[in-house]
Amino acid sequence: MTHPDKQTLLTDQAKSGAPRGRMLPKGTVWILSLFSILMLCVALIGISWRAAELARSDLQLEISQKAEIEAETLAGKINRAINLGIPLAEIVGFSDVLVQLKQADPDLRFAAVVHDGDLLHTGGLGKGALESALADQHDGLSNDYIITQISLPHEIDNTDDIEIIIGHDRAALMRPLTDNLFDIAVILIISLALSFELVLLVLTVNVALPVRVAQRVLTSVREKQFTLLHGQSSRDEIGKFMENINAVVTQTARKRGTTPRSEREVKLIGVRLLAFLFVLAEELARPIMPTFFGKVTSSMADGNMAAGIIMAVHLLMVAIAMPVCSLFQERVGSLRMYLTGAFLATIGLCGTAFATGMWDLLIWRAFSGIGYATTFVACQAYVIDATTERNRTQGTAMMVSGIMLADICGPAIGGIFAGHFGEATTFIAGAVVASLAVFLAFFLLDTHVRGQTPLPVPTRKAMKALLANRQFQVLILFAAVPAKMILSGFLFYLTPLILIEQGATIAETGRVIMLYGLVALLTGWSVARWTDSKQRETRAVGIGGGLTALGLLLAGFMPLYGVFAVAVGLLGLAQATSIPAQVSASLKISRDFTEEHGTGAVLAVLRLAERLGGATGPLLAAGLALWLGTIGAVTVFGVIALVSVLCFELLIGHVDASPKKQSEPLEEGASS
Amino acid sequence: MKHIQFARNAARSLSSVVLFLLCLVAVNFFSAQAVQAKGEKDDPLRIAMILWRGETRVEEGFRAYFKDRDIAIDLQVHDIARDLDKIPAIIEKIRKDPPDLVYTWGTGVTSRVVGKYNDFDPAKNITKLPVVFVMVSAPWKTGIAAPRGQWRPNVTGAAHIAPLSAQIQAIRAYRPMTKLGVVYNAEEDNSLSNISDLKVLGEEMGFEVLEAPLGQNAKPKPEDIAPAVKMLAENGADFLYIGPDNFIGTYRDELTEAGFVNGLAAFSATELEVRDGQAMLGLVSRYELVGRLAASKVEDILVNQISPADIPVETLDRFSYLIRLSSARRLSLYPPLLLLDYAEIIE
Repeated sequence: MTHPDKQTLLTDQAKSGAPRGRMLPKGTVWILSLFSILMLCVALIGISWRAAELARSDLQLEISQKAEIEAETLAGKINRAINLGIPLAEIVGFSDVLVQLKQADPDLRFAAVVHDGDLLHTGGLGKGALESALADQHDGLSNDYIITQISLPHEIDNTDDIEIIIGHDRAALMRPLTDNLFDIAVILIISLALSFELVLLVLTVNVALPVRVAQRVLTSVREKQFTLLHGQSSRDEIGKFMENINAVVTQTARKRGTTPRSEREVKLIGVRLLAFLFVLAEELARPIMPTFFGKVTSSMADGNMAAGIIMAVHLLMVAIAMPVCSLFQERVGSLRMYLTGAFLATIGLCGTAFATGMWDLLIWRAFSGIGYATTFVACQAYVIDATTERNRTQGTAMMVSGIMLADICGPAIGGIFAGHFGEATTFIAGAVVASLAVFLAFFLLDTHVRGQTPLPVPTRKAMKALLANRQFQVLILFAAVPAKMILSGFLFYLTPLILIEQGATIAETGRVIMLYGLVALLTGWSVARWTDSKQRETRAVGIGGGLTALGLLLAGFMPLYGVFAVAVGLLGLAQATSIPAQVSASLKISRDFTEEHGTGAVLAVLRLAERLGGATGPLLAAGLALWLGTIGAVTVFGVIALVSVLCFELLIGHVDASPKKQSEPLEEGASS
Repeated sequence: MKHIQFARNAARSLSSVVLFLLCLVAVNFFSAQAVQAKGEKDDPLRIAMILWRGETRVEEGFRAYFKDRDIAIDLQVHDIARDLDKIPAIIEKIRKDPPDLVYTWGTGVTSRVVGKYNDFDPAKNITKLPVVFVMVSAPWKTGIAAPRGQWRPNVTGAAHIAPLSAQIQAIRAYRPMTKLGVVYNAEEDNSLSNISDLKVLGEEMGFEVLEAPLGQNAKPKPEDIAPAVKMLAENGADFLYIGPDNFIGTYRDELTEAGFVNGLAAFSATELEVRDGQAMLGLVSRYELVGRLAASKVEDILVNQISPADIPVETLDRFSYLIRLSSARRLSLYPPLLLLDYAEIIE
């Protein structure tokens, strides 16, 4: 979470081989980021604590009401026995009644019948322990218990000499906090992550980039070169100051008879927010999709079946649109493609909110699917155009982390939103987010990041050569396909099934699955940075495969809740290591092709293979689960992961780190 | 012309079909009327009842069932007053003026009337007329009912005993029990069958059956009961068990009184021992409901025209937990609080 801006540079200066700024911001940006996050943490912890306090006072009232009802139940039974002529001292089975009450109220600890100061019947605690608990109490509270006492009118002589005493665990007062600790932590993390995104964007665009470019301009002035102008638009003090400097540079350059050029950095950070927004628009309604689709189509078909068909159509459209868009990305340009995608997604989500039946719903979801795929490809294309081989993995990881964050936050926020405002409104909220993405894309995608001039459409021969590339084949077959197959088969199919089988609640299962996104989000950038610094993308893919195999085999041999959590965490780390590296590696491996025909076709093949793997995963998992049981299926997935990574490592061979043509020099400090 | 001829033929064929359908409806209507007439005032259901010891609440429930449904019945009651030797004469009488159905009460009576599924004599037993029995505790064990997968063409009925495991759980809900004392008549098949079942269950549920058989050498006498109970108490019995045993049923007060003397509470699997006797607790089918269950089978056979072979022999699926408080008081064995929620307390 603590990674700074990950600006990737595409500047005129870079192309001329001049040194660039650091990848890690120094000094004030770091301090400001940390300070704001710290403040946010303090505020959120305070709000959570206050909420728990409020719940606690409500709960105390609730416990005392419940205690009175329980005491009256006990009193009713004692009364009935007395009325039947059973002497109070000879009543039998008092502790069994307590056991029965405890089944409905796990916080109930003890109960007793007191007559003339003597403990006649007790349950839950021994007589001695009960006496000391009663002696400790003060206003119904002892160190360990909340004590409730009611008098039982003795019907024979109508005296109040019988008392029913019951005690609840005092820890019950902290129950809302302890029971919801994980949920509070989840909300805290989501709030932090969202705030971090905003802080990161604002600081990077307004402070880090202008300062970094200003530093380069001032360095050039100090060196008396007067060749650079500050081109990073900013209307604050930095902007005004640099405008003055620009004027001085222009004047001096004119005197020298030279023309200074404008220096600026690409706002690559914007793609992270845009990736976050287009996934968030879709993910907001994720928790309510099956029920909403079922309701809309209830007049035409079985709800579950219709929901399944509609979701399948959406996935199918994504699967088709992704490779197709990849082929056109360079011609259309990432900004135009993103705008088109976000516009289609807006229409799709809006239409879904007002859908009246199965057929129009299918059309709206198809729109959403195409929109999702188009925006995804646009972001990917933008990252590829704005990065070089030296920092491509980091760029991809940055986009992936935006997606991961939306995957984590979207359903959680959407669930709360739908609970308050209704299901249709949640889809409208998604549409609003998508249209916000359209608006923001104008500001966040740098217009001068354009793909290379349109390259010739790949010939059949060139495509054949690409597909015949042994290293590319190995990457696709033993890394891309198994990675997505395991993700969908193990994480989305087998893990919930096994955990719920083992008695975990849906919330507990959700937390384990969420761990995947969280680990991937937290580790993604550091791992990508390592990959870029070493320029060993295939090694990163291999390490990812190894981690996956390790986690799955662990879960297969020790199918416990904790081990599954570890396996899912390892899978998150593995995917964060492998997926961005796969993009860089595929482009590097197929360099001969991309130089001639661009990156679109390569990415199209990669996306298609990934989708194929994703679709195969649940089918394979279901088949294996039927055949070997769910745990056996996990073990087989582990073996598949192990075999895949071994084949990958044995067959991938050496990938040439340096491009054939003159490559861009490694920026200074990039590896620091 | 051809068209007109064709239309006429078609109309004729259609009217024939309509006429045929109307006939079918009429036949169906009148035959239904004929069936419905059975059980009406002018044609009541004629039922011969052969009872062990006069009418009980079972017969009250039996009569009430038909009254509630406005079905007329004509009952010929034959009370054998606990003397099974009277049965052949009653069967002879029934043969001379056959009713629509025969109703039998208890294992002894039913065995004599219908024999066993694989051992009956058409000369001695009723094999043609439908028979509905009640109060047979173990119809399959005693061979009155055919084993699963086979059937008797003219016999069905209602059993009244709760499953043995439920009875043991009922005893243990009152107090812990590891030794169960049983005084029984060794001459009665149903008692012997019950004892063997109890022993098997004892191994599963962890209790020991202490037996006190009577009548092994001579006919059992009521004065044998008290020494037998004393012996069981000395051997550490926790409860006395009263199963389906006609002899013990007849002398139940002797048994329960001996229990009071020796500090032993009696559990019964039949209602009368608690409701009319002094047994302290029981898990029982209420007699009235058993009678109603049997009456529903009679209705199926005589009104709905279902063969007895197609009507299952069954027991009620709910039982009553009875506690006689006066007995509990005498023994100072008061019922646990939880039982007071669902047990029927009898003073």
